[in-house]
Amino acid sequence: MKKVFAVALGILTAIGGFVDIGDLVTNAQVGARFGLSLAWVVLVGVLGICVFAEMSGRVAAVSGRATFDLVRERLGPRMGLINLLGSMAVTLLTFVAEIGGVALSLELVSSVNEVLLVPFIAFLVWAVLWRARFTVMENVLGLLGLALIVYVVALWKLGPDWSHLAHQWVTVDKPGDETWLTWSYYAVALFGAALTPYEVFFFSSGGVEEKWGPKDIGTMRANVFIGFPLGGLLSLAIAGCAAVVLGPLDITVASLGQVGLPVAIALGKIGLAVALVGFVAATFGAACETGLSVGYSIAQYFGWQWGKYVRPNVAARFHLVLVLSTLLAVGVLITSVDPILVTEASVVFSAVALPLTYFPILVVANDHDYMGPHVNGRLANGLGTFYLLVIVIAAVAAVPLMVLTGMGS
Amino acid sequence: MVKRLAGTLLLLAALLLPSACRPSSPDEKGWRSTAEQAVSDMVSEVATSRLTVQEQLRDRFVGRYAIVVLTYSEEAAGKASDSVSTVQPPPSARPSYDDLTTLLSDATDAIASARIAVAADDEPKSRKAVVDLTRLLARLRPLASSLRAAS
Repeated sequence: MKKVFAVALGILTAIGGFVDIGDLVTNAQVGARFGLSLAWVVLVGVLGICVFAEMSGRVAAVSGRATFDLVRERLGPRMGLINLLGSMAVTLLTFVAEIGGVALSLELVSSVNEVLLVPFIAFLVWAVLWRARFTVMENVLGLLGLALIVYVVALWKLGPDWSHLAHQWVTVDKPGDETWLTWSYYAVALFGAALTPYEVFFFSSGGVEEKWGPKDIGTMRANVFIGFPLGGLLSLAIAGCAAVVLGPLDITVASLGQVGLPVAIALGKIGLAVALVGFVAATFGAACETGLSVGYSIAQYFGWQWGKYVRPNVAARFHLVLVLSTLLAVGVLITSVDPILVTEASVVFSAVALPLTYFPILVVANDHDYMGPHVNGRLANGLGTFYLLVIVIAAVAAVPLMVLTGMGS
Repeated sequence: MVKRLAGTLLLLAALLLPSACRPSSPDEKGWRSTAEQAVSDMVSEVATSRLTVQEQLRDRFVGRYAIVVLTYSEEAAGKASDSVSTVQPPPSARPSYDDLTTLLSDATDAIASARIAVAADDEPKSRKAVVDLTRLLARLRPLASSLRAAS
C-alpha cells in the first residue's frame, strides 16, 4: 500500500511539476497565434523528455552518478567544461525566468510591481533550497502545481468546436496570415519549453540524492511515463484555452495576465484563483529546481560535495553556488528586464543546449560496463537515436530562426 | 597589419554609422514593417483591454488582476505607439503618418482611460471604455490587414 502511495504521489508531482513559466507563456502564445496546429510538437517534446528523463534516471539508479559527473568523465575536463558552461548559461537564464515568473504571478494578485517582489521571492527560494527537505519541496510544490488542471476544466467549460480544434491539430492547419518561418520558430520554442535540460539535471540528481537503486527503476518509469504525459496535457489545455478565447480576438500573448484571461472567462473568480495558485506553485517549484540544478551541475563537474541531504558546512561550495546564482538572478531582474522576454529566450536556448547533455547520457545508457542488464534495449536505442536527430536539428535551427523572425514577431 | 586593421575598422564605422543615426530613417519597406508590427501589437492590446473591462463588469476577476492586466496593456500600447512616432517616415508615407500616429495615440489613451475607470470601480466609465475600445478596434483591424497585405 505504501509503495502504491509513493508511486501515485510521484506521478501527481510529476504532473504538477511539469509546467513552468516557459510552458505557460509559450503554450499560450502558440495557442493564440497558431491554434492547435503546433500541438503535435508538444507530443514530440513530451515523448522526448520521457526518453531523456528515463535514460538519465536509469543511469542515476544503476550507477549512482548524476549527469555532470558522467559528462566530465565521458568528454574529458576541457570538453566537459565547455558543455558545463553552455548548459549552465541556459539553466541560469531559466532560473532568472522562473523567479521573474513567480514575481509576475504574485503581481497579478497584489498589483505590487514585479521588480519590488523579486528580492523577496529570491530570498524565499534560497530559504527553501537551504532549509526545506527535498521531498517536502518536491511534493508540496508539485501537488500545488496540479491546480493548473483548472485549464482542462476551463477548456471543457468554454465549449469549443472540438472538431475544429482536432482538424487544426491533425492537418497542421496554420493560420493564413502567419509564415512558415514564424511557425517553425515557435515549433522550436515549444520543443525547447517541453524539453528543458534542467528538468533532467534535477530529476537524475534528485535520484542520486534519494539513493535510487535498480529496484527503483519501475517507480521512476511510472513517474516519467504517466506523470510527464499528463503534465503535457496541461500544456495542451493552456494552448487550447488561448486558441479558443485569445486567438479569435487577435490577442498575442505578451504578459502573464493574458494567460489567465480564458480561465476567468470560463470559470470566474474561483477558477482564476486556482489558476493563480497553479502559476505561483509551478514557477516557484521550477525556480527551486533550476536553482538546485545550477548547484548540482557545477558541484558534480568539479567533484565537490553536493546535495540537499548533505549538511551545508560539508557542502559549502555547493551552497555558495546556490547563493551566488540567486543573487545573479536578482541582479538581472532588478534591471527591470521583461521576464517574459527572458522566458522566450530561455526556451529557445534550451533547444540550443540540449545536445550537450543528451548525447553523453545516450552514450552512457548504451555502455554495458556501466549499465549491465539495464543497458538501453532496442526500443530505447531507437527512440534515443531518433531524438538525438530531432534535438540536433532543433539546436541548429533555433538561433537562425530567432534572428530571421525577430523572435517570432 | 595595424594599418589594415585600422582601415577595416574605419570602413565598418563608415558603413554602420548612417544606420545608427537618430531619428532612425527606415526605407519604404522597413517603415511598412514597423507600422504593421505596431498596429498588430495595438490590436492585441486594445482587444485585451476590451476583454478585461468586459469581464471586470461581469465580476470575473480576483483582487487587482484586471488592473494589472490593463497596466501591462497600457505599457505595451505605449511602446507600440512610440515605435512608429519616433522614426522618420519615408516621403511616400508622410501623408498617412499623422493619421497613423494619431490613431495609435488615441488607442493608448483609450486603454489608459479604461484602466482609470476600472481602478476607480466606475461602472459607467468602464462601459464607455468598452464602447471606445470597440470603435478603435473597428479602425485598427482593417488597417492591420491592409498593412499586412502590402508588406
